[in-house]
Amino acid sequence: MFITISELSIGFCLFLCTVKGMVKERGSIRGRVVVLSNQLTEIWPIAAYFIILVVMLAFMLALSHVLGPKTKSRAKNTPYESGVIAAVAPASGGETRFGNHFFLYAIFFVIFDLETIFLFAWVIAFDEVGWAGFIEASIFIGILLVALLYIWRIGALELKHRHLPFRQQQIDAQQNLSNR
Amino acid sequence: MFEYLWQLEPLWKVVEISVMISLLIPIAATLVWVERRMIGIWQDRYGPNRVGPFGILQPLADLLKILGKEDWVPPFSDRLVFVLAPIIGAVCVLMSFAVVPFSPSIGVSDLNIGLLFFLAMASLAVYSVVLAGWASNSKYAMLGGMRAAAQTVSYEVFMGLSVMGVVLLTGTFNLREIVLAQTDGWLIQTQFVGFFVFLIAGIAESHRLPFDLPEAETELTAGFHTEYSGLKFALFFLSEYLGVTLISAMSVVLFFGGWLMPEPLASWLPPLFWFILKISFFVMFFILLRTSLPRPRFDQLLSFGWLVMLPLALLNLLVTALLRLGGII
Amino acid sequence: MVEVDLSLSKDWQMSSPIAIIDEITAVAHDLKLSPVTAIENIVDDIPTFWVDKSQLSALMQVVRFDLAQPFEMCFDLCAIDETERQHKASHVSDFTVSYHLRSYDRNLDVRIKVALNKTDKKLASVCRFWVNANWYEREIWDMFGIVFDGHPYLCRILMPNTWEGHPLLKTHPARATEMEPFTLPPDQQDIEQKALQFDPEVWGMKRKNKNTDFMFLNLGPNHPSVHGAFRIVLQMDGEEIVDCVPDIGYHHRGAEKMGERQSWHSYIPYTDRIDYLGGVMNNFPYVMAVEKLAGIVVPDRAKVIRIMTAEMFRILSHLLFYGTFAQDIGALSPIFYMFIDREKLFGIIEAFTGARMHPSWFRIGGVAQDLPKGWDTLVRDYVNYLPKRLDEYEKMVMQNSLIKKRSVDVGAYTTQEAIDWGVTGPGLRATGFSWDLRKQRPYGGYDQFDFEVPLGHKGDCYDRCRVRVEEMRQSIRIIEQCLNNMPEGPYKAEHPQTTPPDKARTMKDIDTLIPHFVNVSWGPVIPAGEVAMFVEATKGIMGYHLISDGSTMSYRTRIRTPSFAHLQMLPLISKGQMVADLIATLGSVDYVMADVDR
Repeated sequence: MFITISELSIGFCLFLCTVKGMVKERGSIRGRVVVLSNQLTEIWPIAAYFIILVVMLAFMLALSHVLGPKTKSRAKNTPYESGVIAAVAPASGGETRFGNHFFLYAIFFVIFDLETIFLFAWVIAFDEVGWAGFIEASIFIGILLVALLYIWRIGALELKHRHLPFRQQQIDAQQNLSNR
Repeated sequence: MFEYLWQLEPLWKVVEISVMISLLIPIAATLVWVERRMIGIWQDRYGPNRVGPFGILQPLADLLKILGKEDWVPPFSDRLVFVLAPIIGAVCVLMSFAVVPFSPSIGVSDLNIGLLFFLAMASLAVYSVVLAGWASNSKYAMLGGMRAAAQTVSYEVFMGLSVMGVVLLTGTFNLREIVLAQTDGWLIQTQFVGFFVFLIAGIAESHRLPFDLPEAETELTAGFHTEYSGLKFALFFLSEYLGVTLISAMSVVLFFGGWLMPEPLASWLPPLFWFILKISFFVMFFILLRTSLPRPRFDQLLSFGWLVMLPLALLNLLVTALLRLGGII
Repeated sequence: MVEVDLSLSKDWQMSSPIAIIDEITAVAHDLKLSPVTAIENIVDDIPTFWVDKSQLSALMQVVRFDLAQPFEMCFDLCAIDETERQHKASHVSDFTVSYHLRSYDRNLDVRIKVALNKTDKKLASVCRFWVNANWYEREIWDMFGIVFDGHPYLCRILMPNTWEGHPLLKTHPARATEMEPFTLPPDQQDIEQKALQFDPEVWGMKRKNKNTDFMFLNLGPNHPSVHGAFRIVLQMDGEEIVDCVPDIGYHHRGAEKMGERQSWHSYIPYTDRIDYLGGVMNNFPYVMAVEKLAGIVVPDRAKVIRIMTAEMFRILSHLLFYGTFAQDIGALSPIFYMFIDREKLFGIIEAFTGARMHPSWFRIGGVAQDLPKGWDTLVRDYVNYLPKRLDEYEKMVMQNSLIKKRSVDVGAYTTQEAIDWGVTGPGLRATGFSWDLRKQRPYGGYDQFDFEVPLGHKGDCYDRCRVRVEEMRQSIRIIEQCLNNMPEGPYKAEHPQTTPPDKARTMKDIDTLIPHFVNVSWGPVIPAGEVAMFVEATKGIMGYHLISDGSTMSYRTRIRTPSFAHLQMLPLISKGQMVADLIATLGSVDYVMADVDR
C-alpha cells in the first residue's frame, strides 16, 4: 500500500515536470509538438529496453526449467525450519495473526515520503521561486523536523520492547540487593 | 541514399540496448568474482582461483552450474508470486540502468525525469524482497521480508531527499544534464553531506553488509531467499550485484561528474573508461565495507536512519538552498 | 623473568575447619548422615556422606538455606548403576545418586550420596533448591530411569523422545554389535520427525495472547549460528523473544557409556572429543583423576609440558571464540585472521604431538613424548607474535563501536544468577566474580605460575568476550614462563601404572617388562575407588568423576562439562531479546555441542 502511494506521488512529480517542460517550450509555435516528439524519443528506448529485458529473463528462466533435473524426495517439500517440522504452520497461511512490529515505520514512511514530493517540486523550480519559495520551503521543512522531533520524543521510532523491561528489572533488582 | 540512414537509428538503438543488457549481466557475474577475490586478499586467503587464470572463469562455471539446477517452486508457496519476485527485482535494477548516461554518446534514454525514474525503480525493487519473503510461506523468509520492507521504506525517504541538493543546483532531473552541469566542478564539492546520505541509503537499498539484515545469514539463515534455489536464487544474487554497480554509477553521475574528468586527465582515456574507473572505485569501496564492518541490530539501523540520516538530509537541502540564494554556490 | 620452581608446587587440598558433617547435624539434629567407608576409597578430598532418601529434602534445605555459608551452587548431579559393582559398601544399594554441591564462600565442595533400590527408583527433586538441577535430573532420568518427584517436567534430554530404555543402565547394550543393525526406514523417519515437533502446551507456553499469535521458530539444529547441532525453540512476538526452550542431545555420542568399555588408557582419545576445541585440555582432568586413583606422582617436566600445551589450547579455543563471536555479529574478516594464528599454533602442536586438534597426548603418569628438539624456538616465536596480533584485533573487534552497540548490556546476567545456574569459567568471571580454579584450587603445578584472573563487571556479551581476550594474554604469560623454566628430567612417571611405561627400561629388568606387557595388552588395573578431578578448561570447569571397581576399565565415568550448565541458562537471559541479540548471546556463551551432549 505505502509503496503504491510513493509511486503515485512520483507520478505526480512526473506531471509537474512535464508541465515545466511545456512552459519552457511555450515560446515556440510548434511547442506542443516538439514536447511530444521529445517525449517519444525519450520513452520508446525505455520501452524497448523493458521488453528486451523481460524476454531475456523469461528465456533464462525457461532455459533453466528445461535444463534442470526434476527430482523427488520425501523431505523436499517442507519449508525450511532448521531441519525440524514446524510447531505451528508458517504465518502467511492465514491461520496465524502475525503482529507486524514494523507497522509504524510504514506509516511514517507514507507521511514523510509524501512530504518530500512537495520538496521535489520546489527544488526543480528553485531559480524561479527565489527567496519567497525558500522561506516557504524552510517553514515546511521546519514543520517536518518538528514532527520528526515529536515522534521521536513520544518514542514512536523505537521498536517496542514488550518483554525486555521485565528482564532488565530482574537484573537491576539483584544488583540493588547485592549493593546493599 | 544517406537521407534514409536516420530511419536506421531505432535499429541502432535496439542493438545498443541489447549489447548493454548482455554486458550488464556478465558484469554483475564478474563482480561476484572480483568481490570474492578482493575479499580473499583482504582476509589473507585466496578466493576462487581454480577455474581459468586467477579463477576468472568462476562466474561462468557458476552460471552453467546454476542453469543446470532444478527449477523448483515449493508446493507450499504462493507459486506465481514466488516466481515473479526475483524477476521483479532483476527488472527493477536493470531498468534503472536505462537512464544512466555512460558517456557523451552512450546511454539508453535521456529521460527528462531520469533521476525520479531511478528513485521509482529503487522503491519498486522492494516488492521483490517483500513478495519473496511472503510467497515463500516459510518463517525465516517471512522475517527477512518484513525486515526488508521496514528497512527499505525507512531509507528511501532520505535517499530521495539526499539528491535534492543536486537537483537544486543543476535545475534538472535529467541525468545527462546533471553530468554536463558538472563541467566546471563536481557536485561533491558542495554536496558532500548529500553524497554521504545517498551512499548509506544506497547500501541499505541494495541490502549489502552492514545493512544486509533482510538476509543476515547468522540470524535468519538466508532471510527472504531461504526457499529459493537455482536460477531464481541467482536472479536475487544478480540484482544485489547490479544494485552495487547501480549505486556506484549513480554516485558517480550525481556527485562525481559522470564521465567528466579535468584536463589533462580527460584526454588520456575515453570518457567511458573514466566512468567505468570511477564506478570501480565505488564498487571496491562497497566490497571493502563488507569485509570490515559488523552488522547493526534492527532497531539500531532504523533509529539511525530516522534520527540521524533524515534530519541530515533535510538540513543539507536547506543549507544548499541558502548558499545558492546567497550566490555562494 | 619470573622464576618457576615446580618442586615447591603443591596441589590444593580441600579442608574445612569443622567437619561439614558435624556442622550440618548441629543445625538439624534429626538428620542421619553416615560417612563414607574405607571400601569406597574416595581419594579426592571432597567431604562425602550418605543420607537416607527420605531425609534428602530436609538435608538439602539445610545445606542450601540453613547453614551459615550455604552451598549455593549445584555443581553436578550424577547417578551410578551399582548392580554389577564388586567392591561395594554395605549401605550401597542398586543405584546411587550423587550430588556435588559447592560453596564459594567456604571454597568447599561437598558430595551427598543417596542409595536407591531398583524396585523403588524414586527420589525427591531438588529443583526447588537449585534451579539448575532441572537438566541434571532430566539427564539422570533419561540415562537411568530414576524418577524425580516434584520435577517441573521430567522428559528425555539427551536421547530422542522415541528412545526405549535407559542407556547408562548396566543392562543396556554398549556396543552396536549387541543390538539389531541400525536402520531408518521412511515410516520410522516420519515417527522420529514427528517426535521432534514442538508442542508449546507441554512447556507451559501459550500459543497466542490478546493481541497476537506467537510465532514458534526452530532455531537449529541446522542453523549457521547455533555452533553445532543445537536447537532452540523460540516463542516470538514479532522479532522479540518471549521465551525459549533449548533442546540438546543432537550431538550425544554416549561418551560416558564408552568409558565403561574402554581401558583406562584407551579412553584418552575419547576425552579429546568432549570439548573438541579443547584438545589436551580434555585429557588433563581425566589423567589427573586416574593418577590420583593410582597414586601416581607426575614428574615436574611433565607438569610444565601439560600446563604449556593446555594453555596453548586455551588460546586456540579462545581465538576461535573471538572470531566466531565477531562473525555472529556480522564482522566477516576477524575469523580469517584468527584462523591464521590458530594454524600457526596448530603447527607447534603438530610439531609436539603429531596431531593438531585432537592430540590425545597426555598419558597416565605424564605425556606421550618428550618435546622435540628446537621446541623452544617455535614457542618463543609464537609468544612474541601473538600479542601484536591481539593488539590489532583489539582495534578491529573490541573497540568497534558497532560491536559495542551490539554486545554491551546484551545477554547480561548477575553473579548471583551465574552461581544459581552453575555458570563457571569466563562466563562467571565476566560478572565480576573472581573465581578461577587455577588460582582458587591450584592443580598440576599452576600455583607456581604468575598470572592474573581477568574480570568483567556487567556480565554481558561484551564482557564475556573481553574476559576471554585478556585470558589469552595471560595464557601467553604462562606459556612464556613454561618456556623459560622448563625443568629437566623425565616426561613420564616411573610408577608401574604409568601407561605405556618407559620403554627404555623394559628391556633391562623383568619388573618393568611385565607391567609393560600387561599395561599395553590389557591396560592398567586401577585400584578400586572413587575420584573427581576438575580443571579450569577453556569454557569453564570441566571434570571427570571416575569410579573404579578394580579392573582395567572404569565402572562409571561421569563427565561434568561447563557448556551443559551454560546452555540451561539460555531461557533466562534470552527473554525479551531480539533474534539478533540471541545470536550475539549464543556466540558469547562459547559452547561446543560435543561438550554439552558428550
